[in-house]
Amino acid sequence: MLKTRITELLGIEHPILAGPMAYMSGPELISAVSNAGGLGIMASLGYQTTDELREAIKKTKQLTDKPFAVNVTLLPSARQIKYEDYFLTAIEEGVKIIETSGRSPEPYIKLCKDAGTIVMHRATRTKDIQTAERVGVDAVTILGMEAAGHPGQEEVGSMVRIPVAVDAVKVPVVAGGGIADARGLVAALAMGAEGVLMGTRFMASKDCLIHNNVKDWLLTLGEMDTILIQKSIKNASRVVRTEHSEKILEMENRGASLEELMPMISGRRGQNVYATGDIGSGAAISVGQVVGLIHDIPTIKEIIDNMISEASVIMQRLQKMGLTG
Amino acid sequence: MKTRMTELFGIKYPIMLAGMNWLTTPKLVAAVSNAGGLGVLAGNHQTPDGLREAIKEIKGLTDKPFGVNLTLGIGSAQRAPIVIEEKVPVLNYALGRPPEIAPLIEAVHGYGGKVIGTIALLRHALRSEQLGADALIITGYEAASHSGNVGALVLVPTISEAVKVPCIGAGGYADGHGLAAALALGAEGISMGSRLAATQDAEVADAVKQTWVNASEEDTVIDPAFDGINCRVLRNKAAEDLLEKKAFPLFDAISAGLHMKKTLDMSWGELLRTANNMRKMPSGIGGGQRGLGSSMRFAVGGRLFRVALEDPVNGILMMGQTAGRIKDIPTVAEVIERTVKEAEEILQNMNKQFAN
Repeated sequence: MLKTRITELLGIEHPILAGPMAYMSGPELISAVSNAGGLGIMASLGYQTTDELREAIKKTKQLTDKPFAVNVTLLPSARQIKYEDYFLTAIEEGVKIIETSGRSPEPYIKLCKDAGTIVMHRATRTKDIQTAERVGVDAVTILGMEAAGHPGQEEVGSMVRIPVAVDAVKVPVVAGGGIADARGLVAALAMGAEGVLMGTRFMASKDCLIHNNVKDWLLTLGEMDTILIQKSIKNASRVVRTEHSEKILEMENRGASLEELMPMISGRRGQNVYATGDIGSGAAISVGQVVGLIHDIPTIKEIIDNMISEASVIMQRLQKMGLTG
Repeated sequence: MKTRMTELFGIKYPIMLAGMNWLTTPKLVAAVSNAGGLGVLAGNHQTPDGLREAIKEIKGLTDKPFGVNLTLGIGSAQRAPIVIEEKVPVLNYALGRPPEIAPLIEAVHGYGGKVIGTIALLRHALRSEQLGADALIITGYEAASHSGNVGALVLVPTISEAVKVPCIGAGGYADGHGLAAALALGAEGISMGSRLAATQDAEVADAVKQTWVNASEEDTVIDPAFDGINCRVLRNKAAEDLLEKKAFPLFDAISAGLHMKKTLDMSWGELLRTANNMRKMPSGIGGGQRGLGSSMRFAVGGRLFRVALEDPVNGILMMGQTAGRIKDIPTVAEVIERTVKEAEEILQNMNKQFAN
């Protein structure tokens, strides 16, 4: 049992959160995380309508009676999104925790607070988590450059991002980017974080409903097998280095416009790979550098249980160094 | 405090000084060793005679273990014999190829010295271990000057689980938080560069120390534009100028090359070999151009790095992301003592958390 301000705030057993992953973080995956004592976070914009989101939340509630969260990503999107409706749907369905990202959650804070919802905000820059704290969020997540998805344009490593963030805000800090096991958990806690957010680790789990080809492929990847694309459109994205993603990078280096890039970076391509397992079909697949530390495909419960028991082993090892008096 | 790093080198604390050209003067090296860490002298920026004098000076200032860092392939053929003759307790090498590394390790082991390989890639870690290195410095993406693309939080566990020799984390470390984190990730200690250079013991202009204090973690840039391979520096005017130009007038490069030949007391052959070595940097830490452009940048960059020691606006100042964690200019002894104390307190508190 590892108690931090994050476990207290969220009412969870272990300070381990599953970062929302488009087309993956649905009811099955997030309920598995919550049932294992962590916090599952639903990727709400993966649902094209709020009705679909509502269905997914209802299904999740059938699968777990533990807390889970819904993420709303406030980024410009190819389709018109009425963000407020996504917040309202989550609130109406009794979701107790909302995670925001992409832009300041300020316009939606009152809505959430009036409903008694806990708000967490995830960002890559110190100043953005400070803004989030100022507008009233209850906790923040800081992402280092190691992360999958959008690790920020500045490319600052978690080893620096985490302690800087902890010093910069009073609310509890969750660390994301570069964490997949107990070593990362203990390191993050040592730097002052009160929880960790993991994505790639949960992608390579039995509970993630993507094609097994994709999971097996993850096991073959090393820490150097990712690249950052979309820096030219100010939305840096860490993906697996493939022929497809290198072609995107090449287009960006040539000065390709957003319109030219869109068909190449479309999330639909990834969705197709997850469903069919056809890795060669050409998609930018988000994974973190931490993929190099992932050597198996356990259940989510095994991942979390193992992290907690291994963390105790690490603490014992550190004690032998004469560190803990 | 006892880790495999302290045991290996016979030092009190698992903290070492990163060998930084021009910055690690004998006084700074001795200050780190006297404070219980491992001071390391960068051995590439002096003439060979200057290197021997610096080693002797360190010996006069401390009776504790210390090291010399050599980047292989840049005048190292003249310098390595000096390190061996002087029986320097620790040789820390970077880059290089097996035919040069193996005999060097053997020679140092011959007089009972220890060898640390500095690496940024898993395959180089495995190779260094195989060649007989006693420990490895794992350079994360956060580090000043040269690194690969992988952040410390991933690179330290990746390499420490793959090798048997003790690993030392470098890049991103400035305090007890970093030390505790590195140990949790599987390292046996840390190497600090920028943090130990922003101290009263460092013999660099106050303006430079103040630059480290004022800079944030977002004020660096990593690019091959500065010395031919990916190098992390302060994003100042001089850096922006080089980034924009992306090419050097040939005249600048030639005059900088001649300047380098003179200050390092290189023969023509040595200068050409160095230029050629720069051209063949391994992939993964290159990120830059290949060929002559790379050699030219190395020469010009070398001169601008020196300017930065006095003038952090017009020179190119190597700086890690860890600058965001540097807020004061204490003595080396204070940095080392509080780093250890902080790490101990953090882990004591965490132990209680786990016990609950």
